[in-house]
Amino acid sequence: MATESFRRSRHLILMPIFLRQQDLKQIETHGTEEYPHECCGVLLGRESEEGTLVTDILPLKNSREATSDAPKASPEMFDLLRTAYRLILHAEKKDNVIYDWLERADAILNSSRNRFRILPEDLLRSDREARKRGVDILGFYHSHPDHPARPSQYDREHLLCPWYTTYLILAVENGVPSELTGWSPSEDASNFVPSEVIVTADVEAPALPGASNDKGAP
Amino acid sequence: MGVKVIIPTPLRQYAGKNDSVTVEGRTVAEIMGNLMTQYRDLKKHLYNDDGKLRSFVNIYRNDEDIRYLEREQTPVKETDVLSIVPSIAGGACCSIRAAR
Repeated sequence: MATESFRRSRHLILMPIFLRQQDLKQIETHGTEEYPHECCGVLLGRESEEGTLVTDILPLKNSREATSDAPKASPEMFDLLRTAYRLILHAEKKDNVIYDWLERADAILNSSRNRFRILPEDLLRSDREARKRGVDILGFYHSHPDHPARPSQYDREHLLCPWYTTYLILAVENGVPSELTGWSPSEDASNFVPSEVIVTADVEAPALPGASNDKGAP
Repeated sequence: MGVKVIIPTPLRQYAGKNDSVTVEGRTVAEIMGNLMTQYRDLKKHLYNDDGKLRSFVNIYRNDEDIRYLEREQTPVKETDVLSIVPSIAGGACCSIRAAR
């Protein structure tokens, strides 16, 4: 089947992700509105020989709760906590005091300031919506508040679902969107590999050569 | 008759391009077993080498996660719908799992 070969070949020849200006704007607005918390959503569209065409985005609720401590911390404090956490994580000797500290830091870092989670029921609804619109769920977007637009270790451990081909990460610095990057799972699904994001000005989703134009329900 | 199982869009290609299939069975385990027999290519996407559901795979009976029912022994009626849904999570940095 064509789709299967596109999915496989994307890992070998990195295919670009086509994103309309208006959808980029919507992702940036979502990231800004949710700052300093992470935003997340679903990317709908189709695969073709030319690349991945995002035709719609579905902003979703980040189901990670804000902890009582996390919202009070400034971006600088939060960044300091992340750095300290990394240093301690890589320390050669760790005793119970350090583990206790890591657990406490984890509670803060695991808040929506630093994490996102899409509820399965929200994904189920998105899947129904995709079927209704005659497109596929291609993957997901999320924001990294005051953090680079690169997949984190946590992203590699939790976000990499080999079923999906397209992941977008938006960096939001001090409440302002700064960079959007595109990623795909590597062939063995152990890591992310970068994909070029091509922003198009089209208002209506263009039909890429080789893409199905059937918008009816499957 | 049988029970309707909704296939996630990226896995339809392994299920005869169907967005849902009807499978016989009285429990989730029976239905999933029959589904894997019917569409063998689906198995590696849903189960690990030990034959257990992959950690990010959730199964819903209607709108209920079977983890909160009777897991794979959850009974299913013909009027029910099973859905296969992945867990999706991520975030900026740091995981205590690497320290342990």
